[in-house]
Amino acid sequence: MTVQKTVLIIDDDESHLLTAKGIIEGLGFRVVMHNSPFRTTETVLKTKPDMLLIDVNMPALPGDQLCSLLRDEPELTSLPIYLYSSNDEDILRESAVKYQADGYICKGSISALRAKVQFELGFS
Amino acid sequence: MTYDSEQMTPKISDLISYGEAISPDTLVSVLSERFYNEPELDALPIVKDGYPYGLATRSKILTTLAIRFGFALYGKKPISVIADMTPMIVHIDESLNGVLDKAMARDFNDIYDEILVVDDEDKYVGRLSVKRLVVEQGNYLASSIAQRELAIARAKEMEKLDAVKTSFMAHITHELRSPIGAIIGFSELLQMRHNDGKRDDVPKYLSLLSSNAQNLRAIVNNILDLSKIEAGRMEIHSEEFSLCELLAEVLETCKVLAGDKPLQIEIDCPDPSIKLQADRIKTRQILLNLASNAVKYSDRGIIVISAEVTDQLHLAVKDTGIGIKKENLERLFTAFDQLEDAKTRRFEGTGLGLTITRQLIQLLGGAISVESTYGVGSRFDVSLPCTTKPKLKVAS
Repeated sequence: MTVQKTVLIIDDDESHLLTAKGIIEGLGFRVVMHNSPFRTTETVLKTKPDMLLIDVNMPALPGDQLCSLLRDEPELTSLPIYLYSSNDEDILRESAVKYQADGYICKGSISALRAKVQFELGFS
Repeated sequence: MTYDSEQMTPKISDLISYGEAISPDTLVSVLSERFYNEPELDALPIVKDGYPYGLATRSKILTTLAIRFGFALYGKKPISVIADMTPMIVHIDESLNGVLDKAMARDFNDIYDEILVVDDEDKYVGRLSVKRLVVEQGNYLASSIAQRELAIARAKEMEKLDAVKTSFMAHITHELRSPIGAIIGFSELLQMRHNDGKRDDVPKYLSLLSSNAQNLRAIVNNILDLSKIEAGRMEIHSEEFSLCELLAEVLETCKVLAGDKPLQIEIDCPDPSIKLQADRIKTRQILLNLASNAVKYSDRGIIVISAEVTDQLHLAVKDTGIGIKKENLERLFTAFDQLEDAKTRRFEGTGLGLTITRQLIQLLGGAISVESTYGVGSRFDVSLPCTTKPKLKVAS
């Protein structure tokens, strides 16, 4: 039996946490939610996710900067990290490159969310 | 470049662009298509019978169409309906410095707008680009160090305004998209639950779907209100109403907004029999905007909403919230400028609330002031013109 793959979502907005969780669970993956930019390294190392979604607009520490901080962790250099945000797509595209994310997903684009998750994790 | 003989300041006649002008009857849809297709086209003067009539600027026309979902509303209307019909007009003999001083004294939304030039008979000659004037003046002033500093200060001021506008676009985009994304997500989840029959989460999804939809409505209403005010289309409807009932209504809404926060919200109402003759809806909106801000920015303590009637209506909202730093008080009423950086701020919102509030107060002929101590709380005072109608005592 294969181990169920896990997606970790970091977002301070309950609505977006729950919608992403429901949709990703619908694909057959496990979802862990974390609702602030703090203590994320700890959560990531403990959860050992197969993919990470990070919201950008969060109190105190923007998700894009958080992304590059996580990227500096030796254990996380190859973890697929996506910015998950309502910001303008052009800005997201630039931020993803600048902060070493693997890509971005626009909130509200459910087909993109499913496609990116399946691209990284395959079909469960 | 030629110079005035006496003051040696540059003249504007060398800087005029003589490009095409359009008629006031040009359709909005025709012009917007041109703006889309010709990215270098910043503005087109509107000229009628050889006289300047108005100015259609790219940013304003496209913004108007975008934020008011305006193609349906304005597409088939003539451009004169949404263009700036009071553009800045100068005489061809005016000096560069004089023209720039006037241009920079405009409202900051208008500072970049092109200037129309007329001749001795007030006929349209051509147009001036403010950016080009600034560059020319900079070149000219560079000869004098003291004046050069002035030119640099001006350039910086323009950069700052540009930054405010850019951050507004990013900000408003996020605020509109966030609830839309949530609504789409919950609709999809509900569809999934409908298909698989697992009903456990349905009540929670429905409740969050509804609150996101209401949040979206509030944001859209704010944007529409502001554009209505700025377009001069907000009208005043005076009616008779009870001041105390209005305060009670605001109190109820605030209690709902406060939710579980340990906040005590009080109203301090004068004689309950007082009837006011004023614009009830706008008075309510002003009070509600201030009171809901107080709730939003206070985690605990007391909020007092008070009213007093003298020759004017005085409204006050006092809170024990986060307060405002002295250096930020000036920026408080600037559109789209929440005091915290959009990416890391703790409070949701468009940053339009206080701008709308102040504009409504100005529309009604009143005034607003604020006193605040950072970390202690704030007090907003509003005075509005009104007439009172004390209830007549009925003889028994």
